[in-house]
Amino acid sequence: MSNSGLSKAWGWSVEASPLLNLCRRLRYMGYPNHKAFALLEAAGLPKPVDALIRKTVSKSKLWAAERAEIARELIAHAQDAIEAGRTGEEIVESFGDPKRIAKLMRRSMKRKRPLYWRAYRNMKRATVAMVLVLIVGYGSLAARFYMGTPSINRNFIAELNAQNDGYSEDQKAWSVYRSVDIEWQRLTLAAWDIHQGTDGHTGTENAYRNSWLSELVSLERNDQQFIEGAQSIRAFEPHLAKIREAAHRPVSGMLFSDQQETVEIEPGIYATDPIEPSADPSMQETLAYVLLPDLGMIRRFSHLLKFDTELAIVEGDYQRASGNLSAILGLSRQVNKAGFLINHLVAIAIIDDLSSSLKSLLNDNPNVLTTGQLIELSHRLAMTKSQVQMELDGEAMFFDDVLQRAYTDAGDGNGRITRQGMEMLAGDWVLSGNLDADDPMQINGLVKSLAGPISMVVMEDRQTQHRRYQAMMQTIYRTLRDGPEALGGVQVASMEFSDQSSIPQTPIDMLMPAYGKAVEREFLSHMRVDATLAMLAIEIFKREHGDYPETLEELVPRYLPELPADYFNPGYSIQYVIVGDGYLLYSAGTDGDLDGGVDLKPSNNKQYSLMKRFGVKTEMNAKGSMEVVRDAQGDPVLRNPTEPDSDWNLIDLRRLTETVPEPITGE
Amino acid sequence: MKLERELMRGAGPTAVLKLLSKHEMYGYELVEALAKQTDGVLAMGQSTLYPMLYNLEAKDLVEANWRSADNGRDRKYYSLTGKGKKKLKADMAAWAKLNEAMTSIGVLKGVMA
Repeated sequence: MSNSGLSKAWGWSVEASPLLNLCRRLRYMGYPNHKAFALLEAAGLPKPVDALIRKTVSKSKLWAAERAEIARELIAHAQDAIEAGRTGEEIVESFGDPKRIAKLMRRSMKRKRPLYWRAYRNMKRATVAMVLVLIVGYGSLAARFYMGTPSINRNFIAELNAQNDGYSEDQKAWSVYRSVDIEWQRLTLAAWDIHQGTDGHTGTENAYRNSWLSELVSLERNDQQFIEGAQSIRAFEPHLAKIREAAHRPVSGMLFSDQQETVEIEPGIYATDPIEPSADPSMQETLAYVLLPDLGMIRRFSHLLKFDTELAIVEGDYQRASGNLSAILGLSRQVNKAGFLINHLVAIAIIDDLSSSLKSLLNDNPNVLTTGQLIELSHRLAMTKSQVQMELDGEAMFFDDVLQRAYTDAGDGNGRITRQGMEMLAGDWVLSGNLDADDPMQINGLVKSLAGPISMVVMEDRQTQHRRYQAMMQTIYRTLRDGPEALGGVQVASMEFSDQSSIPQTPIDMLMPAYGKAVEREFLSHMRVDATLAMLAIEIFKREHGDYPETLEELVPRYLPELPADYFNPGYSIQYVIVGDGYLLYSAGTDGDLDGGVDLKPSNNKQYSLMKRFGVKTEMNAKGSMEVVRDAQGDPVLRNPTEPDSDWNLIDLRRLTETVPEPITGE
Repeated sequence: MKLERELMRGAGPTAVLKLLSKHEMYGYELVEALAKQTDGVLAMGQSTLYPMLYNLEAKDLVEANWRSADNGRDRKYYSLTGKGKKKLKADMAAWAKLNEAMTSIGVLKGVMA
């Protein structure tokens, strides 16, 4: 195709080039009829005809050059008509309505315009149409978003409190714990009065009160502070007796509420009580604001009982020591009942404390507890293990409560995100540091005006969120049932979970705890408890037979219902080996290889990880987020750690000492 | 007799193309030719003719050139392009078919009668 042919095909020519057109338009801007009228002046047509053409040209609203072209053509036509003998009036009469003709001329002249202009016009029209569609679409979306309101019907706080229904006041431990806590405050306040500003205690009163007990436990027994602290704890004995009694009650019985009242009942002594929550769930805060003051209290009590157990042994009060250990198990059972993950983690931490207490007790003073006390402790520990299971009903309720406060309720379990929901979640963003609370534009401008309605489209609906959460819960319960070898499943589910959600602000991503770690801790805790139960069984066996059993199998079923499983070494039990006057119970550890209990890498910070043992390989993907490594068949690749590590010595009673600590005299 | 607008919209461009197929013509000449040769049936004023010519030009069926006539005045002469010739041929075939169809059902006969 020649250049001119190409130009013609594209409606392009030097004369019609965009630059020239722009120049022309600029030149005649404000006076587009200039050229056309000049032609009319020169033509000298009869006035009516001249006026008619002027009007037609003016009304055409075309480019100046196009107006001139029309004028030139109409002038030629009129001159031909005059030459043929027509009068001006006849020409005007045959012309028709100038406005209508101008319109027709404009339409047809525009069709002659170059391709680039038509493309630009079409693009402009499409853009305007798109903007209109967006405005209308966004408007209807915004209307739908702002008109949607959550229906907060379900009273989750009442459901939580229902777990205390049917128990009388004397079956609930909370009032006892509350009064003992006040006494504890008095005790620590007195200790603070003595020690403030001395012995390096330069912090605040509260910091000192919180750390006093843990410092006390870590002190050497002949340390003056330990002796003074021990005297204080001994003076606290009547209150510890109350804890021992209350720990055996069926429930803690604390009122779950989103509100609490703290009263300073005397200088420096505070009583904190949950206030009866509103019966209307829409007037309540989310379950995230449900206060659990009993958690810290019960953890503190378990430390106190643990410390008092040592004192009781020193004092030869073995009945009290045994009672303390049983009470610790009771505290664990009570705190686990709420169904929140945090409660469960505290519960298993308390049991782990008890296991370590028992281990050091049998190491240092193997004969202080009677066989009957050992059997009772063994039964209580086994029972507590079965009772303190990971139940996540509270977590599920918490999530459903967020859904009911963030989404509308369509009546079929589904719903869409609401303005109130977005504001609630934005509040959580601020708490998590993702938004700057000092910048009102971030919350009001962005969230309310723009992200709000759009979020209704991009965020998952209520039903999908609920379904995904339930699926995750099922994976967790299945893993707990199937054992640690299924841990990779939780890991894969968690990773896929975050992959599926491209919008990080969806409630589920913000609220899903790190269940993989929690489930791993659960299994590790089970192993510690099983090893402790085996230790108790070995001790009872020795008392009855005069010697340690040759193998763990000898303990089953009379002393132990079944062999303790080594979760790191599927198909095998925890290993047992007699060493000198003592014995060792050990697991294969993270690498899954048995090394005879040999400590290959002595270190104070050894981490035995089931997640490393059975977890799946992960790597950073192109988007910068972690993803599961899969083989050619699409199956996740296991980590299978091969680097040798130490065996995990669960119970190390190889160096038995018969040394009994010096009695504490307080002098 | 004048044709109704819809009929004129169909017949007008073909008539203009046909006139231009003989030789190039300027606007006034076309107006006159249409009025005389069709006994006024296809007569059209400037208001119809010029927009129609611009449309045909936009479709590349006709092309126009300004030239000085014998009397010394400038006139815009329209002539058929190659594409215009093909279009005229196709239009004429279509009109012939239409004529046949109208005759077969007696419409044209009725008119003639």
